[in-house]
Amino acid sequence: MKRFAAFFLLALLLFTIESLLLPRYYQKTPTAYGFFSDDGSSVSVFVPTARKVAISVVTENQDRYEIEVFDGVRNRFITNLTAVGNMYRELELPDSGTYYFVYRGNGTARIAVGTLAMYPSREVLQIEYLIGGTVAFVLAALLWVGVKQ
Amino acid sequence: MGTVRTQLKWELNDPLKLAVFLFGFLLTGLAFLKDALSMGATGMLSPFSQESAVHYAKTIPRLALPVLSQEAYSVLVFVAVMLSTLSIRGEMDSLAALTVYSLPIRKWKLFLIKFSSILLLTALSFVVPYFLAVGYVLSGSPSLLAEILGDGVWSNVLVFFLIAVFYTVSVSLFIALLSPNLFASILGGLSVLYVPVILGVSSLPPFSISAAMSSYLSSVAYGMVHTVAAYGNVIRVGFFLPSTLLAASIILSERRDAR
Repeated sequence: MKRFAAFFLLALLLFTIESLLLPRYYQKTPTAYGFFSDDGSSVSVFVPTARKVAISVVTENQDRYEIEVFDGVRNRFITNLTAVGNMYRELELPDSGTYYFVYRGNGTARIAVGTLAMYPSREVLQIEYLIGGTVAFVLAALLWVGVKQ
Repeated sequence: MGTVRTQLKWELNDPLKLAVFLFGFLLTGLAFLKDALSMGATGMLSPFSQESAVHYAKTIPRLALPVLSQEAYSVLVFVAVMLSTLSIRGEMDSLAALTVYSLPIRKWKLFLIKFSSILLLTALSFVVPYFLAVGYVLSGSPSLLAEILGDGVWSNVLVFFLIAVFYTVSVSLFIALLSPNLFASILGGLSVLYVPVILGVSSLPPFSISAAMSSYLSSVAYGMVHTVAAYGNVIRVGFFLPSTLLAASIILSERRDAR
């Protein structure tokens, strides 16, 4: 049973290393599209990791309008983007979650949320290092007992 | 009971089988991490209100939860075939079976022990990476993670994956029992389990299971009640067929010799 436990812990440790390395080499940059039909309508985008996004809004409305960015998981507004005419902004989404882009203005508009880069957030890295370190310690203890016998 | 437990420990102590387990764990882990990193869902909410936004923020991401992917299934097939071949045929070809079969234990019991040890190793190498991958990727938002997998979603996902594991293990064991040597067992098992992927047969795993999983996840995300309907086809092919094969294998195992 001990060899089984050692292999299982080794698998957990190597998996944690995999999860630390993979986001560096596997970049996925999808673009989400949405449509604002009137004042107060919103588009929601679910993202699994923290990332940097480019927001483009295309509209025929010539008045001043606002896009409010709302973090649905942590229940707070992140930022408020104002513009006249078309808009292009770069923005950081702090962690995994569902983000709402709320349109405050006249007429209709179209929005595209494109991912520029994705990366794990500080919290995710903390948890991965914590679990990986604990597993490594337990594995080392298990192997040390085996070596001494 | 003592012999059964010793035999089970002996089966789980084989370094070759554990190496296959490690290989499967890491490769399925890569496949599921890739799927988890590329999750995504877009929706609309009009008019915007804060309460409904907070509510949907935690239920709609269920649509994006990774299902049984083709890459993960390929690794699963390889692991199940290698483990059953090592356990049944490898033992005979290396003549270790000569000593095992002189033990005072019935052959069908021995077979059931082999079956359960392979099922355990394959299931661990397949299910743990899935939950670890989803957990690691979403660990920055614990409330979101708890909400997505809560409400019985995690247990349903687990059942779907265990059905896939049960199917691959019993098919590959049946083929290992029928084949004349180690090589035939590996090639036969891989081809039988992988042909449905190449042909795109939608009524056999993996496609039947991934389709059922996505229909289950969408019905749960939109709060529908009749989630049991998703299981229909999966139960027929993913459960009934492997159970029959398992029963046939138990009968076959009584007749087999040590060589």
